[in-house]
Amino acid sequence: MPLLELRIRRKAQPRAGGPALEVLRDVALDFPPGSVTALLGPSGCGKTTLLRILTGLDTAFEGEVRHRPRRIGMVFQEPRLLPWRSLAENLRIVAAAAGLPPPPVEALLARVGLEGWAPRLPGELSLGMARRAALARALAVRPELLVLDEPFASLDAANAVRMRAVIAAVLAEGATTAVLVTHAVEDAAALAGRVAMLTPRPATLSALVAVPEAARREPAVLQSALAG
Amino acid sequence: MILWRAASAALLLALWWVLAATLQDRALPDPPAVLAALRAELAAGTLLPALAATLARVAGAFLLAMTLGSALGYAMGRWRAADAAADPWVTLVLNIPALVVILLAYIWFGQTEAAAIGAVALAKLPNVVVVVREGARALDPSLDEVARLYRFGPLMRLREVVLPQLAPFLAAAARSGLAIVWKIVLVVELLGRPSGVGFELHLRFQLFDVAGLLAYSLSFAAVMLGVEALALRPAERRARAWRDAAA
Repeated sequence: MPLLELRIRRKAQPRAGGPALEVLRDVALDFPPGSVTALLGPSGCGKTTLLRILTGLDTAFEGEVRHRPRRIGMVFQEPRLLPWRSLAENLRIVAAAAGLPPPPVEALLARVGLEGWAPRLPGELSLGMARRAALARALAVRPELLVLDEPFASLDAANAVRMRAVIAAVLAEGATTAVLVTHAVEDAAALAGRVAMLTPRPATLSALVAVPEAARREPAVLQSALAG
Repeated sequence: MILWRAASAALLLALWWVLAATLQDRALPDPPAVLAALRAELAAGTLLPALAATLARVAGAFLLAMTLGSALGYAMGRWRAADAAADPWVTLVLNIPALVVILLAYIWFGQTEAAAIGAVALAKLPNVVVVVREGARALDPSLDEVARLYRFGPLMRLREVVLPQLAPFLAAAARSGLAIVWKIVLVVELLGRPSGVGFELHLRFQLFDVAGLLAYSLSFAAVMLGVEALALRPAERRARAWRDAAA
């Protein structure tokens, strides 16, 4: 897979009855194959918008995305599973859409701690479980790019711990390029190889640092690396 | 609840019976007379062909109105330009009485089967459009994004994302659609078809045969109730099953 290049000159959001709101300005980022990048920044700074541009969901911006892979798996903040389909069918449908043979549903669900849940409907799941199911769905397309938008937001402590372990295990395989949006330095330190720091709106890149090994145990190290 | 319903139906029947017995008038035959008329029509071999002809017209007009109405309603709910372009037409037809549509269709296209079915479909079409448009406007954009991200083809998008969300609206349109369509079909038959329940009703009307009139209307109403209970309601239940699971 060639280097995925994100070049945003400007992204503005039209507003009813007012001037457009500038969300992003001059963000240039490359994503080497297999890299795990955490996007860090204050809430509302445009991290999700950046993801939407990266994945091609938002095309109304000035700039370009080069070498966007075909198979992208994404975990949205809301799980967004098809509520009328069982978990197994949710996984099969995206794999079929990607032109892949039927995915190993049970194995994928087991990876996210949902063994035995294949025949159940999304409505029967808690938010934590549904988000893990959404991760299983993302993995079902064998993603060349895996995008996680605030995967720990509004999870209780136990579910957040579980989600973190599942994501860490998936990312440790190094099979996919991953982008993780978060506002918690600890998550970035624990999961990412490097951190891209965004400023408040209009967001621009303020720092891009590799996560120091020491930060895995002591997230404060990353904090100071970002500050410096 | 079932007891109450049964009691209420029995009361209606009793009232009819008592009223007929007191009036002793040709205009209101009692239940046994209607039953006798029903038996006679059945024996004469006129009832079943009439029911079949009307049912076929109902099916044709219903399917036509549902298909075209759903497609148009979806387009209008999805794209503002389509809505702006088609809305005056829909509003116009919505406000023309079905009877006028039927008369014009017969005048312009002759008293043909196509004109009859087309007129009924056209009279029902705007209702379907309005209901389905509402459904299309309520489609969840976040699931649309899922479909785009995972590169669903148009058919998969329709089957997996759009139709399940439209199902309650389609069901509502179908329910009210069927109820309206069969009543309008009787009118087109009465005005210009040589067969069907509407035609037979017209005949009984001219002969002042009220027992026959009631025999035909009640038997066709029973057929339509059967269609609703055996086809529409189960389909609706199936489409709603996932909601019940979530609750």
